Amino acid sequence: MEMKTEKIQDIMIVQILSDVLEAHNAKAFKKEIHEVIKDAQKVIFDLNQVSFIDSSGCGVILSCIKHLKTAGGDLKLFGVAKEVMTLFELIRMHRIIDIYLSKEDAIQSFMK
Amino acid sequence: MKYNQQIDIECDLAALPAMRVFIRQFCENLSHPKLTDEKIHQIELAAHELVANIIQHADLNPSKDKIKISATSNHLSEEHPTLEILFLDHGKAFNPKDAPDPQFDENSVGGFGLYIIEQFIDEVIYQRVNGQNLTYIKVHL
Repeated sequence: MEMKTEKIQDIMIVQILSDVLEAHNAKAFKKEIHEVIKDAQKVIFDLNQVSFIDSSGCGVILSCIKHLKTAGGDLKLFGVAKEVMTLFELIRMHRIIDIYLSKEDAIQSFMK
Repeated sequence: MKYNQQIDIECDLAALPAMRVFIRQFCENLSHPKLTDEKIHQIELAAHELVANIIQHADLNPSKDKIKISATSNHLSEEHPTLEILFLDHGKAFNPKDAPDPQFDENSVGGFGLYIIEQFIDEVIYQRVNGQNLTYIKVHL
Protein backbone atom coordinates (compact mmCIF):
# COMPACT_ATOMS: atom_id res chain seq x y z
CA MET A 1 0.00 0.00 0.00
CA GLU A 2 1.60 3.23 -1.14
CA MET A 3 1.24 6.36 0.92
CA LYS A 4 3.11 9.65 1.18
CA THR A 5 3.45 11.63 4.38
CA GLU A 6 4.04 15.32 4.91
CA LYS A 7 4.41 17.28 8.14
CA ILE A 8 3.10 20.81 8.59
CA GLN A 9 4.04 21.94 12.10
CA ASP A 10 2.64 19.20 14.36
CA ILE A 11 0.10 17.98 11.78
CA MET A 12 0.77 14.83 9.79
CA ILE A 13 -0.83 14.62 6.36
CA VAL A 14 -1.01 11.15 4.83
CA GLN A 15 -1.75 10.90 1.13
CA ILE A 16 -3.27 7.48 0.41
CA LEU A 17 -1.95 6.50 -3.03
CA SER A 18 -4.23 3.54 -3.71
CA ASP A 19 -7.41 3.83 -5.74
CA VAL A 20 -9.15 1.17 -3.62
CA LEU A 21 -9.37 0.50 0.11
CA GLU A 22 -11.16 -2.80 0.41
CA ALA A 23 -11.12 -6.30 1.89
CA HIS A 24 -8.24 -7.36 -0.37
CA ASN A 25 -5.79 -4.71 0.85
CA ALA A 26 -7.36 -3.70 4.20
CA LYS A 27 -5.07 -5.88 6.32
CA ALA A 28 -1.90 -4.45 4.73
CA PHE A 29 -3.32 -0.92 4.87
CA LYS A 30 -4.17 -1.28 8.58
CA LYS A 31 -0.71 -2.54 9.46
CA GLU A 32 1.08 0.18 7.51
CA ILE A 33 -1.11 3.12 8.46
CA HIS A 34 -0.94 2.30 12.17
CA GLU A 35 2.85 2.21 11.87
CA VAL A 36 2.79 5.64 10.20
CA ILE A 37 0.48 7.31 12.76
CA LYS A 38 1.70 5.52 15.90
CA ASP A 39 3.51 8.58 17.33
CA ALA A 40 1.23 11.23 15.82
CA GLN A 41 -1.71 13.06 17.32
CA LYS A 42 -3.02 15.42 14.64
CA VAL A 43 -3.50 13.46 11.44
CA ILE A 44 -5.14 14.24 8.11
CA PHE A 45 -5.83 11.64 5.41
CA ASP A 46 -5.86 12.83 1.80
CA LEU A 47 -8.31 10.48 0.02
CA ASN A 48 -8.18 12.16 -3.40
CA GLN A 49 -6.78 9.00 -5.03
CA VAL A 50 -9.35 6.66 -3.47
CA SER A 51 -12.30 5.96 -5.75
CA PHE A 52 -13.62 2.77 -4.11
CA ILE A 53 -13.87 1.88 -0.44
CA ASP A 54 -15.78 -0.92 1.28
CA SER A 55 -16.75 -1.74 4.88
CA SER A 56 -13.27 -3.18 5.56
CA GLY A 57 -11.61 0.04 4.35
CA CYS A 58 -14.00 2.10 6.50
CA GLY A 59 -13.14 -0.15 9.44
CA VAL A 60 -9.44 0.65 9.08
CA ILE A 61 -10.10 4.41 9.01
CA LEU A 62 -12.33 4.04 12.09
CA SER A 63 -9.59 2.07 13.85
CA CYS A 64 -7.22 5.01 13.16
CA ILE A 65 -9.49 7.62 14.71
CA LYS A 66 -10.09 5.33 17.67
CA HIS A 67 -6.32 5.04 18.19
CA LEU A 68 -5.73 8.78 17.74
CA LYS A 69 -8.54 9.85 20.07
CA THR A 70 -7.26 7.47 22.74
CA ALA A 71 -3.87 9.20 22.38
CA GLY A 72 -5.53 12.61 22.76
CA GLY A 73 -5.40 13.40 19.05
CA ASP A 74 -7.79 13.47 16.13
CA LEU A 75 -8.18 12.43 12.50
CA LYS A 76 -9.59 14.59 9.70
CA LEU A 77 -10.24 13.72 6.06
CA PHE A 78 -10.34 15.61 2.78
CA GLY A 79 -10.58 14.74 -0.92
CA VAL A 80 -13.48 12.33 -0.41
CA ALA A 81 -15.06 11.20 -3.69
CA LYS A 82 -18.85 11.46 -4.04
CA GLU A 83 -19.43 7.69 -3.96
CA VAL A 84 -17.12 7.29 -0.98
CA MET A 85 -18.96 10.09 0.83
CA THR A 86 -22.28 8.33 0.21
CA LEU A 87 -20.93 5.28 2.03
CA PHE A 88 -19.47 7.37 4.88
CA GLU A 89 -22.88 8.98 5.35
CA LEU A 90 -24.68 5.63 5.19
CA ILE A 91 -22.63 4.20 8.05
CA ARG A 92 -22.55 7.57 9.90
CA MET A 93 -18.78 7.99 9.63
CA HIS A 94 -19.27 11.68 8.89
CA ARG A 95 -20.58 12.07 12.44
CA ILE A 96 -17.42 10.56 13.91
CA ILE A 97 -14.76 12.02 11.60
CA ASP A 98 -14.61 15.63 10.39
CA ILE A 99 -14.47 15.75 6.60
CA TYR A 100 -13.28 18.81 4.66
CA LEU A 101 -13.36 19.87 1.04
CA SER A 102 -9.72 20.95 0.89
CA LYS A 103 -6.37 20.29 2.49
CA GLU A 104 -6.23 23.92 3.68
CA ASP A 105 -9.60 23.61 5.46
CA ALA A 106 -8.49 20.40 7.16
CA ILE A 107 -5.22 22.02 8.31
CA GLN A 108 -7.04 25.14 9.51
CA SER A 109 -9.39 23.03 11.63
CA PHE A 110 -6.39 21.83 13.65
CA MET A 111 -5.03 25.41 14.03
CA LYS A 112 -8.17 26.72 15.79
CA MET B 1 -36.41 -9.23 -22.89
CA LYS B 2 -33.88 -10.93 -20.65
CA TYR B 3 -30.16 -10.36 -20.61
CA ASN B 4 -27.96 -12.74 -18.62
CA GLN B 5 -24.25 -13.05 -17.95
CA GLN B 6 -22.38 -15.41 -15.65
CA ILE B 7 -18.97 -15.62 -14.09
CA ASP B 8 -17.18 -18.05 -11.78
CA ILE B 9 -14.69 -16.41 -9.47
CA GLU B 10 -11.91 -17.78 -7.29
CA CYS B 11 -12.63 -17.91 -3.59
CA ASP B 12 -9.90 -15.38 -2.94
CA LEU B 13 -10.05 -11.69 -1.95
CA ALA B 14 -7.73 -11.00 -4.89
CA ALA B 15 -10.66 -11.90 -7.17
CA LEU B 16 -12.82 -9.04 -5.89
CA PRO B 17 -11.65 -6.40 -8.42
CA ALA B 18 -12.49 -8.73 -11.35
CA MET B 19 -15.89 -9.44 -9.80
CA ARG B 20 -16.57 -5.70 -9.55
CA VAL B 21 -15.60 -5.21 -13.20
CA PHE B 22 -18.09 -7.94 -14.16
CA ILE B 23 -20.92 -6.29 -12.19
CA ARG B 24 -20.03 -2.79 -13.40
CA GLN B 25 -19.87 -3.81 -17.06
CA PHE B 26 -23.15 -5.70 -16.79
CA CYS B 27 -24.85 -2.65 -15.28
CA GLU B 28 -23.28 -0.24 -17.79
CA ASN B 29 -24.57 -2.35 -20.68
CA LEU B 30 -28.17 -2.04 -19.54
CA SER B 31 -30.46 0.40 -21.27
CA HIS B 32 -34.11 1.29 -20.89
CA PRO B 33 -33.53 2.42 -18.27
CA LYS B 34 -29.88 3.37 -18.31
CA LEU B 35 -28.50 3.14 -14.78
CA THR B 36 -26.95 6.18 -13.15
CA ASP B 37 -23.31 6.03 -12.02
CA GLU B 38 -24.55 6.30 -8.43
CA LYS B 39 -26.87 3.30 -8.81
CA ILE B 40 -24.14 1.26 -10.53
CA HIS B 41 -21.75 2.04 -7.69
CA GLN B 42 -24.33 0.95 -5.11
CA ILE B 43 -24.95 -2.38 -6.87
CA GLU B 44 -21.19 -2.90 -7.32
CA LEU B 45 -20.52 -2.20 -3.63
CA ALA B 46 -23.38 -4.44 -2.44
CA ALA B 47 -22.14 -7.33 -4.63
CA HIS B 48 -18.59 -6.71 -3.41
CA GLU B 49 -19.66 -6.84 0.26
CA LEU B 50 -21.64 -10.01 -0.35
CA VAL B 51 -18.81 -11.85 -2.11
CA ALA B 52 -16.21 -10.59 0.41
CA ASN B 53 -18.41 -12.07 3.18
CA ILE B 54 -18.56 -15.43 1.38
CA ILE B 55 -14.79 -15.50 0.84
CA GLN B 56 -14.02 -14.52 4.43
CA HIS B 57 -16.62 -16.56 6.30
CA ALA B 58 -17.80 -19.54 4.25
CA ASP B 59 -14.70 -21.71 4.91
CA LEU B 60 -14.18 -22.43 1.23
CA ASN B 61 -10.97 -23.76 -0.30
CA PRO B 62 -9.34 -20.90 -2.29
CA SER B 63 -7.47 -23.27 -4.59
CA LYS B 64 -10.50 -25.39 -5.43
CA ASP B 65 -13.85 -23.76 -4.74
CA LYS B 66 -15.51 -21.17 -6.95
CA ILE B 67 -18.34 -18.74 -6.37
CA LYS B 68 -20.86 -18.70 -9.20
CA ILE B 69 -22.44 -15.38 -10.06
CA SER B 70 -25.30 -14.94 -12.48
CA ALA B 71 -26.63 -11.49 -13.35
CA THR B 72 -29.95 -11.07 -15.14
CA SER B 73 -31.83 -8.01 -16.22
CA ASN B 74 -35.50 -8.54 -16.74
CA HIS B 75 -37.27 -6.24 -19.15
CA LEU B 76 -40.31 -8.47 -19.66
CA SER B 77 -42.34 -5.84 -17.93
CA GLU B 78 -41.36 -2.39 -19.17
CA GLU B 79 -43.15 -0.89 -16.19
CA HIS B 80 -41.17 -2.81 -13.61
CA PRO B 81 -37.73 -3.74 -14.99
CA THR B 82 -35.44 -5.44 -12.50
CA LEU B 83 -31.84 -6.49 -12.12
CA GLU B 84 -31.28 -9.79 -10.32
CA ILE B 85 -27.95 -11.25 -9.25
CA LEU B 86 -27.59 -14.76 -7.91
CA PHE B 87 -24.56 -15.85 -5.86
CA LEU B 88 -23.95 -19.56 -5.32
CA ASP B 89 -21.32 -21.09 -3.06
CA HIS B 90 -20.64 -24.45 -1.41
CA GLY B 91 -19.51 -23.00 1.90
CA LYS B 92 -20.89 -23.47 5.36
CA ALA B 93 -24.44 -22.34 6.02
CA PHE B 94 -24.87 -18.66 6.67
CA ASN B 95 -27.92 -16.85 7.94
CA PRO B 96 -27.74 -13.06 7.70
CA LYS B 97 -30.31 -12.83 10.50
CA ASP B 98 -27.71 -14.24 12.93
CA ALA B 99 -25.34 -11.34 12.25
CA PRO B 100 -25.31 -8.61 14.92
CA ASP B 101 -26.62 -5.15 14.05
CA PRO B 102 -23.87 -2.63 13.32
CA GLN B 103 -23.00 -0.04 15.94
CA PHE B 104 -22.60 3.49 14.66
CA ASP B 105 -20.25 5.00 17.19
CA GLU B 106 -16.55 5.66 17.76
CA ASN B 107 -15.96 2.20 19.18
CA SER B 108 -17.20 0.41 16.09
CA VAL B 109 -14.67 -0.62 13.46
CA GLY B 110 -16.70 -3.08 11.40
CA GLY B 111 -19.82 -5.15 10.89
CA PHE B 112 -21.26 -2.82 8.25
CA GLY B 113 -21.25 -5.21 5.27
CA LEU B 114 -24.76 -6.65 5.56
CA TYR B 115 -26.18 -3.26 6.50
CA ILE B 116 -24.68 -1.74 3.31
CA ILE B 117 -26.20 -4.53 1.19
CA GLU B 118 -29.64 -4.07 2.75
CA GLN B 119 -29.55 -0.29 2.24
CA PHE B 120 -28.57 -0.41 -1.43
CA ILE B 121 -30.56 -3.45 -2.57
CA ASP B 122 -34.37 -3.71 -2.74
CA GLU B 123 -34.64 -7.44 -1.96
CA VAL B 124 -32.09 -9.83 -0.46
CA ILE B 125 -33.06 -13.49 -0.18
CA TYR B 126 -30.86 -16.15 1.35
CA GLN B 127 -31.58 -19.87 0.96
CA ARG B 128 -29.75 -23.08 1.82
CA VAL B 129 -30.41 -25.52 -1.03
CA ASN B 130 -28.79 -28.96 -1.37
CA GLY B 131 -25.83 -27.98 0.79
CA GLN B 132 -25.27 -24.74 -1.09
CA ASN B 133 -25.76 -21.11 -0.12
CA LEU B 134 -27.89 -19.29 -2.60
CA THR B 135 -28.05 -15.53 -2.16
CA TYR B 136 -30.29 -13.60 -4.45
CA ILE B 137 -30.41 -9.83 -4.72
CA LYS B 138 -32.95 -7.84 -6.68
CA VAL B 139 -32.89 -4.20 -7.67
CA HIS B 140 -35.85 -2.35 -9.15
CA LEU B 141 -34.49 -0.31 -12.04
